Amino acid sequence: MKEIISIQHIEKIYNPKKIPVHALQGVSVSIKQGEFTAIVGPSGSGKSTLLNLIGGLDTPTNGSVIINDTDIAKLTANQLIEFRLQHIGFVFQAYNLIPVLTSKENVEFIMLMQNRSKKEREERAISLLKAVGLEKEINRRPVELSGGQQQRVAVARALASKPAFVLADEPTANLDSKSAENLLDIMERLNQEEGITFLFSTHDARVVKRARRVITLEDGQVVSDV
Amino acid sequence: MLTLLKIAWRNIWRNKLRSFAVFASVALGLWAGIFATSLANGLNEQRVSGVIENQLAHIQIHQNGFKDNFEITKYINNVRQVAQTLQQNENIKAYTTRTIVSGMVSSAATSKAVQIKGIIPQNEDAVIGLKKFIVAGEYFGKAGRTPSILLGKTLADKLNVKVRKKLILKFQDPNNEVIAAAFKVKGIYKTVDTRADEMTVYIEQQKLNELLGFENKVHEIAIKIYDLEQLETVTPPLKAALPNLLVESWKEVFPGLDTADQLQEQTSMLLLYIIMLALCFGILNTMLMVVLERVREFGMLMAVGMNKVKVFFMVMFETVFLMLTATPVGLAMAWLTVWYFSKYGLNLSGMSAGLGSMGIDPIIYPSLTYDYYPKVILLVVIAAILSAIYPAIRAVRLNPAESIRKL
Repeated sequence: MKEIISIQHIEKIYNPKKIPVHALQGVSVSIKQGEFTAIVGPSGSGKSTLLNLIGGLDTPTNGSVIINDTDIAKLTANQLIEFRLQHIGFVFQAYNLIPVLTSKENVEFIMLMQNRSKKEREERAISLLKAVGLEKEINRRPVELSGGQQQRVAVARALASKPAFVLADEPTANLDSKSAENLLDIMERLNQEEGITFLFSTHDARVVKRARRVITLEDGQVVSDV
Repeated sequence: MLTLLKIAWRNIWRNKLRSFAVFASVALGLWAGIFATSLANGLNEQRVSGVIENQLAHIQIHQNGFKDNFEITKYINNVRQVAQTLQQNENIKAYTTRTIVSGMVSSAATSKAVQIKGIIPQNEDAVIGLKKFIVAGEYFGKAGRTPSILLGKTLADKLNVKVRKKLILKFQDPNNEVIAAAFKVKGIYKTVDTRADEMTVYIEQQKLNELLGFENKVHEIAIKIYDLEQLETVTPPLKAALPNLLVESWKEVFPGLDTADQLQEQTSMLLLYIIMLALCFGILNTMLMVVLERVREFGMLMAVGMNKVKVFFMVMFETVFLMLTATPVGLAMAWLTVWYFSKYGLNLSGMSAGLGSMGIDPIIYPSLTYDYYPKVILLVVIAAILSAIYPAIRAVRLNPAESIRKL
C-alpha cells in the first residue's frame, strides 16, 4: 500500500524562548493507505500535538510532515488551509457541526468550498449520509440530532471532500456506548469496504480494540507501535 | 458566497433575544435620530419661515446707509419709479412700502422704546399677512378722528392698554423736532416672535408721512415673490434694475438666519453620526460576544479548510444583516412619526413662552426631505462595516488547533 503520511524526526517545542515545553521529541511515524490506526497515550503525551501536525493545524519545530509527497511543514498558512480542504478529513470530539445548517448542508459545505457542482454536492451528500445511516435525517439541524447522529454527520462531512485520510480526535469521547459502537462500526466498514484511511487519537478502549495498528505515545515519544 | 450569506443570515437568528436587543437598539436609535432631526428641521424651518414670511419678507429695498443706524433722512425718494419696476417684474407677488422711525410709546402706566412702522395696511397684509395675527380688536379698517395703531400683545400687556385705549407716540422728524401724536389702539396682534411683537408698532403710512412731512418717500420696500426657491435668480436682476438702492434677499438682510439654517443641517447630521457611533459600539460589543461564543465553530471552519477571507466576510455579513434587518423597522417608525406630526403638529404649548422668545410657534411640524433616508441607510451600512471589522479580525486570528478544543 502507498504511504500517505510520513513523519520524520519531528519535534514540537512550545514557548521555545520562555519556558520550553517539549511536546514531541523526535517522533517518526508512517501511515499507509487503508490503515485503521489509533494513537493512544496518557494526557500530555503529545497525541493532540501529533494529530495537529499531521492535520496541518500546527507546524513542527523540527522535522518534516510529508502527506501525499508534500512536506506540509513548508507550506504557508493559506496553502495549508487549501491543503487541508483538499486532502484531510476531520472528525472532532465535540462534533463541531455548523448549527444553522442541516445535515445535508453540513456535508455539502466542504464540497462547496471545493467549488464542486451543485448536482455533485447533493448526490454525494445524500450518498454519504446514507452510508452513515442518516438518510432520514438529511434535513435536520444538529440540535435536532443525538450526539451519535451528529458524530455520524461529522464523519460524512469528513469524507465529503474525498480526503487522503480522516483524522479523528477522540471521536467517541462524548458518546454513549451504543452510539460509540455504532460509529465505530460505520468507520470500520468504510475503512474495509471503501479503503478509507482513519487515524484516531483516543483514550477509548473500544477504539483501541478495533484498531489494526496502535501507536502509543508517552512524554512526546513513541513507546510502542503494534 | 451565497452559502456564506445563508449561514450569516441564519446565524443572526441563533440567539433571538440578543438579536432582538440589537434590532431594538438600532431601530430605536434610527427612529430617535431621524425624528429629532426632523423636529429640529421643522423647528428651524418654522423659525426661518416665521421671520421671512411675517417680518422680513423675501427681498428688501433700502436707501444705502439706512440700515446702519436707521437714520430718518436716508429714505427712498423715488418710490413711484421703484414701484413701477417692481410691478413689471412677473416674479413678484406683492410688495409693500414702510416708513420707519424709532420712538417712544407711552400709556398712562409707562413708556417703551419702539420701532414705529408706517404701513399701507392692505399691502402689508399681502406681504407678511399681518391681519391674521390680530388677537384683539381689528386690523385698521375705517379710521376715526384719532388715528389707529396696532401693537403686539406683549407690548400691550407691558403698557397695560387694551383695544380703544389711547397712546402717545413720540419721535423726531427729519429736522430733529420732537413730534408727539395720540393714537387709539385699533388692534392687538400676536406673532410667534414675542420679542419682535414687543418692539414694533404699526400705524398707517399716510399718517406717519404726514407727521414727518414726507411725500413720495419711504424707508423700506418689502417684497414677496411667488417662489422662494427662485430667490437667488430673482434678486440679482432687481439689484441691476435699481443700482442706486440697496436690494437684498432675506439671506443678506439677516445673514445669521441663513447661517443658522445651514448650521442646523450640519447639526442634524452630526446628531445622526453620534447616534450611529453609539450604535457602532453596541454592535461591536455584540459581535465580539458572538465571535467569542463561537470560537470553536470558527476554529472548525478554518480547520476543515475555510479560508480567512471567507471567515472575515461571514462575520461582516452577519453584522450587516443584523443592522440592516433593523433598519427598515427604524426607518418605517421614523417615517410614520414624521408623517403624523408633520400633518398634525407636535404641540409644545408648555414651552410656548421660551419658544416664542426665539420666534418659534409652539406647534412644531417636523420636516424631512426624502433624500435624507438614503443617507441614513448608507450611514447604517458604513456603521455596520466599521463595527464588524474588529470582531472579524478577531475571528480570523483564531488558532484553529486551539479553538476547536475550546469549551
